[in-house]
Amino acid sequence: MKKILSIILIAVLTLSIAGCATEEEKVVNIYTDRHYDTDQELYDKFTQETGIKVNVVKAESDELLERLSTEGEDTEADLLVTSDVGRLYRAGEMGIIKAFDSNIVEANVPEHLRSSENLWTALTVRARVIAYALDRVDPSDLSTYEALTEPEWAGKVLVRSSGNIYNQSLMASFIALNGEEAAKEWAAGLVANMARTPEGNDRDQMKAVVAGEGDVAIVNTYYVGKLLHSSDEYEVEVGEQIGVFFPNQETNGTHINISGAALTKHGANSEEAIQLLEFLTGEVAQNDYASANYEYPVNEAVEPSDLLKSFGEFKIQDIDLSLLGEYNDEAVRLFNEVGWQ
Amino acid sequence: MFIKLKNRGLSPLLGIVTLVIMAIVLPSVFIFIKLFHPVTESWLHIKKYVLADYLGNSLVLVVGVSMITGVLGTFFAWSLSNYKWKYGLLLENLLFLPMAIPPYIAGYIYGGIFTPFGTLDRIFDKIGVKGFRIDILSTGGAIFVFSLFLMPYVLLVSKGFFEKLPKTIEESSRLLGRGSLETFIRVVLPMARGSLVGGIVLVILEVLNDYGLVRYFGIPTFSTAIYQTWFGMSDVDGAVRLAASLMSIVIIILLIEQFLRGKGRLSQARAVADRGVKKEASKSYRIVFGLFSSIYLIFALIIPITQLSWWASVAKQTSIMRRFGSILFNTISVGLIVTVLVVIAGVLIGNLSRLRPGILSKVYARIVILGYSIPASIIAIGVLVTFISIDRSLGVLYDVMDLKNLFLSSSKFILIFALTIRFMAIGFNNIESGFSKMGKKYYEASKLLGRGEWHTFRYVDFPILKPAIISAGILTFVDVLKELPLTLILRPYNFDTLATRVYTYAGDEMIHEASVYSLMIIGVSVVALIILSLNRKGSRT
Repeated sequence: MKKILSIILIAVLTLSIAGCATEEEKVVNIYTDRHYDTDQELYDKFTQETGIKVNVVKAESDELLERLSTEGEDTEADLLVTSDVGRLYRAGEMGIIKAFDSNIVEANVPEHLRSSENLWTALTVRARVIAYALDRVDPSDLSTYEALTEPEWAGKVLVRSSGNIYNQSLMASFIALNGEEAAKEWAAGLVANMARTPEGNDRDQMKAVVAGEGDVAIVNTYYVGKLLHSSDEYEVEVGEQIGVFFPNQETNGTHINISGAALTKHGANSEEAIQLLEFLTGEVAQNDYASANYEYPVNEAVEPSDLLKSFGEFKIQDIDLSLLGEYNDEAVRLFNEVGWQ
Repeated sequence: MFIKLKNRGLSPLLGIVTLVIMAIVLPSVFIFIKLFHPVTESWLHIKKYVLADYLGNSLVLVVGVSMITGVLGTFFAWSLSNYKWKYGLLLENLLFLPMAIPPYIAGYIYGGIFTPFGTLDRIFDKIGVKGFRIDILSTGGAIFVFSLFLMPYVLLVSKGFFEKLPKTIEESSRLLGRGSLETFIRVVLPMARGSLVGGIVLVILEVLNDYGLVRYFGIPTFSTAIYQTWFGMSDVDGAVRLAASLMSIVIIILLIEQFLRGKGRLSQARAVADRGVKKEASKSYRIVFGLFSSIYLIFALIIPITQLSWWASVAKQTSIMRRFGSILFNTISVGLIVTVLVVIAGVLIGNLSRLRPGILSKVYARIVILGYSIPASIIAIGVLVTFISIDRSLGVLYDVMDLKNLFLSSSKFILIFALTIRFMAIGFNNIESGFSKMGKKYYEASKLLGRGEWHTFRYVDFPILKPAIISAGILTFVDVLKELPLTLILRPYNFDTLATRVYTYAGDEMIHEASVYSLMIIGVSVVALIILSLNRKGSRT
């Protein structure tokens, strides 16, 4: 027994060390907090097309930023991908990403979805909308995020905890658009109208709406798609009883956040990284993003999936996306001050 | 003390242990230094608005969970090691198995059962009954879930102790006219204090460091404050500072406990190597035990596995499944390596504190817990900083050997190192409880007979210590299997384990797909347990 165990151990050790050797080949190394199988499939497609190998480390975005900054100029990572624009802004502030030039990316991605300093580009878009109970709520009663703080919605609003990044970026957008005072007032008003103390994830909020614990929930379009296409028929049923409403269409538009990518400052394979960005924002990849993952494509030549189209077109929030990062800290503080758990 | 220091043959051990301890301390130094940095603005904000509430929540969870796991774990451990049961070994393994389910996955499971449109609703729906709803995503629910899936820590540590408890002590007490319950409470329990504390400490640290379950349940705790400072307010220093204060509190409490315990330990009781024959339990005891263990197993094993299997059966197949082989290889190989390292280090440190009881070894014994006392993401930064500076100082050597700049920190070394110091506490707490009841009589006898250190360890200490080593090994292995935060951030490129796959899906609200990999973690744990049981059985005859 012991002998077998030690033989296994030695074999394992040798293999692990042998695995460290690298060969000379074209590669691009990615740090990403997007952990979808579709992404891996896209990278595989890219490798097939270009012969460039894609290496991936997947972890939480802030940890990746910390790893990148600690590795400094020795880092092997070439591309940073995050599913929140705030993290890209933060990376810019930390000085661990660099500007890049690519006519192709510029042609693929509209200007408002790119950094004004060419530090990052969006890959996909998600909207934060109001999900409502089809049987109880008349969508004509819905108008804006702000209106959810009015007395008629008392005890009827569902939303997850303030630790969620999309709640933070929504709040940051209000700070940027309406100022700190107004944003704080909104958050306090929403807390007062909550049907319950925040718990669960976005899917849970929608289930609670259908179960009658509240009438409306603030959720991402992405999760409505996940629910409707769930392999669990009960979840599909829940999804079918949910209506999607894009708020603030008459005013400053519905809040969006992006998944985006940036070149690391000290990455050695910038050329390959840019090539990958051009691929990811191109039509083939954008089609895959749109159809497989219920996200909105950034490339205007590509149509959203049928599901997203069925929600209708909408006016997106008119705001410089970098501001979502800039006001993220402030958003968290205000949440704490008004007691949004 | 000085005479003891000069004992022959001890200095190499002291030297090696000191090196191990230094390796453990190194990454924590970085964290400790932050304690003395000026306070940041976000800390003041946290303190003003949320800290009291969050600490309160942590305290409630810790007290609730440690009470339940303490009572249940001790009860199961005592029953299993003291009485004869049909299928005792099977039962023991089953009671241990819930540990293979990480609490945050258990949180999703129970969430999936009790929340609207969950399994319970569907069952009510099918049988046409208007259902009731239990608010599982609450503090009470969190205590329930934590307790179910952390109990095995207490069970294993305590059982390792009870198993080698000398029969004579208990018999003396019974002869002096005490009943079995009274004997247990007044004689056995006080002696078991050390191992009970050891087990509960592990549970407490797991609860304190959890972020996944409390986030899903919407219960902000101390670790929420840490991550809010870091992720929410982008203040890494502030976050590390909070973690450092948590670490200090834990260590101070442990040191106080250690010194208070002092002479009350069993090392003076001169334990014997074998407990002798197990007793027949009385009928009423059998009923109580049967009831408790079945209720426990229903909630901690049958329900979760059923739910996971059902979810897994409707999961969507993806192309990534074909990489399954390498995922399994990574998981098991890292698990094995870390387990062996943890056990070796545990035996070395445990041996030192047995042979040289003194302030130094007491401090060493508590330092071991450093890696386990703070959230893993923070430890990860410490390890990263340490390894990158080692890499930089070895830069010249790397150039000569034609290695890349960050050779160590971009390889599996860093991951294995980090996991080893993280789980040192797990292995050590078991092994220490083995050493503490063994005393050094046999060691001294063997030395007197002219045997060397190695020979003494191999043929005298090791056989007595073996059950403790096995428990330590299982706990560590299963813990590495399900470990997430360290693996996530310190892993090399394209490196996936079963646990990272679980996270990939669960983090994206794809619980069905996550279930497939959760079941695999349980499967690997079952195989590990079977191998070890067979091995243990063999050693008994």
